[in-house]
Amino acid sequence: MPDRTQVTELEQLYRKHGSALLLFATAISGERSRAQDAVHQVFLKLIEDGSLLQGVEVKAYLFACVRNAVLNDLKARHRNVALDYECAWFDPPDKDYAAERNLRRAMAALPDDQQQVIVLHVWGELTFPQIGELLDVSANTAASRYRYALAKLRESMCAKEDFCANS
Amino acid sequence: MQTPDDEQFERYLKQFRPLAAEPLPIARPKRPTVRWFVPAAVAAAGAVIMVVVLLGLHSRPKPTPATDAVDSFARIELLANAEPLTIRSANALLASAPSFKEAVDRVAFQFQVTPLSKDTHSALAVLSQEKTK
Repeated sequence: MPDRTQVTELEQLYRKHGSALLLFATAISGERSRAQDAVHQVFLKLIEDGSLLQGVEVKAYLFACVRNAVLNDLKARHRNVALDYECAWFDPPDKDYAAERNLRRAMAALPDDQQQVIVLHVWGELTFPQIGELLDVSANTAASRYRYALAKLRESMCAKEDFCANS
Repeated sequence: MQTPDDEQFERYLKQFRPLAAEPLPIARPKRPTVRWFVPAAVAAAGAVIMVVVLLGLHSRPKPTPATDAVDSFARIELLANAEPLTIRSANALLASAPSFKEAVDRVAFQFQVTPLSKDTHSALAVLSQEKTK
């Protein structure tokens, strides 16, 4: 039987980081429903085990768990899934859904490793050392991937939006 | 090293908030407070019923002679003060009074103070001052 305090704590973590974890899982798996299942699976497993993350960086640990869950799921299905362009990933500012679609497409055009670094740093708010540990690369490599990804995203979005006109 | 442009673009990206995840499908364990709440509610309901029953018994009118007398006395007084004496009201008084004597006493000896104007005199006062031979 899981401890109630621990369940509450995990629910709070889910409320706080659930959306970023889901975005990360979606970016890897390409399917929002699969990604949601993976995130649920991680939290339910943690609740079931009742062994919550003593002495570790909780947020980074959760991202690592979600990544493993999604990769295991992809491996089990023995297939590569194309990114789901039809399903929204973000709640855009000023309800600018065209910008949301552009961002999603620009992200989908990035290589997987750069895409993950972008999500982890911008929306997951992980540091480069944390990202490096999670992806098994150095912090410098993570930072370098981030800069490349950011430049590509900006280029891609500037071609379609007026962000560059404002900057 | 991030440039100011990078930082600005990063801020722009952060304005896109990831869509919320669906709620966790967990079955919440039942709270133990429910266990003590049930008997407490039953006890409280029982206590309320007891109080209502006791109040009902206590406030039921008892046909005692004492209260009857008080009631009829009050009725007589009310009738006597409220309206002039007529045959009908006298009959009503007699019917409700515990005894004939009491009814007559209450009606006959009603003390009514009627204030007199400055230039008038009470006939009783004048007659009482008159010397009788």
